[in-house]
Amino acid sequence: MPKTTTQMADHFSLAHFLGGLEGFTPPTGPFDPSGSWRHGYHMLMSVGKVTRQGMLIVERTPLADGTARLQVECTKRASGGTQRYVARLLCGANALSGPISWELETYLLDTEGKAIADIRLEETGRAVDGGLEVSTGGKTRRLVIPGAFTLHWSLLDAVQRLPGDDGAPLSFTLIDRLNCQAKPGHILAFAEEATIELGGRPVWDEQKQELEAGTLYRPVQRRLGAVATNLRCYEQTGTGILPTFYWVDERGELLVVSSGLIAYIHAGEGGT
Amino acid sequence: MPEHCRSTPRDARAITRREFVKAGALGLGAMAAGPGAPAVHAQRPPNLLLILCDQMNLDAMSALGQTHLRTPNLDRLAARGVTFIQSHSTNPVCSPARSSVLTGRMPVETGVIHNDLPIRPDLPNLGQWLGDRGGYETVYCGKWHLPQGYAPPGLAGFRVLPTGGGQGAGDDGFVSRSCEAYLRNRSMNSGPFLMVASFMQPHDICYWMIHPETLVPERLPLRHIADRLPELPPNHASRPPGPQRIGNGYAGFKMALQWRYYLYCYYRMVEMLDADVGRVLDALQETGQAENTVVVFTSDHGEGAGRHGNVQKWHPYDESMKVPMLWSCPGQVAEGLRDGTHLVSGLDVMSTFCDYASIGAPDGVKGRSLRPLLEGRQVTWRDHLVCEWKEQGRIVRTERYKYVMVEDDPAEQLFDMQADPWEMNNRVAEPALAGTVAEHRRLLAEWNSRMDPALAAG
Repeated sequence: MPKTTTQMADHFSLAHFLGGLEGFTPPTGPFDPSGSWRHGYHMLMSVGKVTRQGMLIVERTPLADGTARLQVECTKRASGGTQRYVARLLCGANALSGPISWELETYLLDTEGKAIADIRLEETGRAVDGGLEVSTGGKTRRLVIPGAFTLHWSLLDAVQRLPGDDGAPLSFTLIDRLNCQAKPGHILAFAEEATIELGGRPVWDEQKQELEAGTLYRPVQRRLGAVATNLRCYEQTGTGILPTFYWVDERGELLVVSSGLIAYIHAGEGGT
Repeated sequence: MPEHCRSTPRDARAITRREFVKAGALGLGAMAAGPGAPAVHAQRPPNLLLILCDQMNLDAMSALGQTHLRTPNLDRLAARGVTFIQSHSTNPVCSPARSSVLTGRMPVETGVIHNDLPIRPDLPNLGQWLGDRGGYETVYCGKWHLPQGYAPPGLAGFRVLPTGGGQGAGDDGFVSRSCEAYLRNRSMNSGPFLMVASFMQPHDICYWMIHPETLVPERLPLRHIADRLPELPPNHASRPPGPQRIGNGYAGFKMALQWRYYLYCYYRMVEMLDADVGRVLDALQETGQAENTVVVFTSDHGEGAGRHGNVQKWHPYDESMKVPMLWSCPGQVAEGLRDGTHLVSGLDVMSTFCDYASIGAPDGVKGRSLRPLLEGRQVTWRDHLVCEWKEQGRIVRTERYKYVMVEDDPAEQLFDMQADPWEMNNRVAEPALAGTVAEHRRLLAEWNSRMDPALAAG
């Protein structure tokens, strides 16, 4: 597939989030998608204007047997509090980073930062033959899933190791947000390579044009400080999600995920 | 009404007015002997769970034959209870419709005649009434929009589980998690609860046109979904003459493929909602509380979904006006019944909850308890329903016809909903139907005389 050069505004998966990428600087330096890393992502919402909703932090630790641990922390502002997920996943050595087991805590913090006692949940889960087994508060339920399955958090890791356009689409069932609700019929496939000018801020410039009648100066918008970045895009479609786009740089680092009104934008290690 | 909402699905038993009369004549005990009928009444007042969503079409669920999406959790609610097909929004926009669900009053009475207004303070909401009179523990989580977007701390009548600040894709997962946590952590020795789990989806579709210029076919991710795009509805190009405020369809999409992709995305949003509903239902089930919880699932209003070339809501057509309404409670609500006859609306939630809580409804409510219908008892039901639209607009729905007017516009509409369920042929000017039009005008005048308008009441 030929590589194209484009502005963010020209790609419909990114156009909604221009405002959220102002000042964005693509990461540089060595990166090993199969190694240890920690990524922070701003959670953006676009409803005409782009707002930051919270932060997602994913930290990967490879294990000797080819599996990996993923620690996921999701924090989102709420009206009158803060919502948090903390998940510790053991992911398989497969293309989807499918879950072997996990522990999940979800809780609400009040305005003073204290956890609201009766709105806290602890959950454990594991892959079993033909599906998942999930335990919450002493109750265990089983979800039958034919074929491959994975979690949306696992995919944030997995897409970084996917091949380019020579890779076959992956088919699977999605367990979204660890909610024990199977969403079948998913396909994750390479979509395109592109050089996209990421970040920067919009400025108006003039474009000079010589005409018979004289010189014409046309106003044109440019993005000051934007960085042309070579990216691979993977697209995911299936039940229960909007088409989702994963933008990965040449080193394999996941920079942007966009899905409808939501995007996750790389924010270093997520310390802010 | 689209055909798929009129046919009988494999897993549900349609019920007609005649069946209800027959069931009532035989008595509830006889009904209970049959499959799917309620069996016993619980001694303790049941818990009450209102699952409210935003902008969902009546027929956007696989239980009603829609083949372009998968809604296993809504389907199981339908299989366990009663699905109303003649279910209407009192006013097809968020705040007004929600004010009716929460008070049992019409928007003109609550004062919420358009978005972002508060409910008239002298009208009790569900939480205030059931908490004070019924001793219920009352909890609210999610979208509020009366006027604050999400339920604010200190909301009258409810303990609020904090959430919100965004839209459905970002927040509904937290709403379902918080509701799940509350249900799993509460003591089984506690008194009954009233929970409102208020989801945003599939309202996110409202923002799908932020950049319609980018939704051109060559940029859409169609490689793997091209064969899954819904076809356009049969009334997509229909623009029946009528009041100007109805509008003339959405012009942002120039090509059928853009519309079909829009519909594809809308149905994915309904599936997101379905998963979150499933989480709440699972928690109810696994903690043993489902056996004594009356659950109602409904929406504030529908979605244009390309019908009459429309997106979003506000229209007097069924795509905006009709909403899902599913009721269930093992042993107390008949199972697997589809009621295609009785005219119901969000007005009826307050009265029905009060009935199950064994307390009277607040004075002046305009809704009725659906409990007799849910239990298959014989009852004389309303023969018409009045809804509002765009502040000054009104709709009178009778068994066969829908009459549409707006106060400052002489143009009217009359649709024969049996012969023309897609509302494509306005027959208001037909001399043979002059009497029908006059009768609907009379019904509206009578209805208006019974209103207690918020403005007139000061």
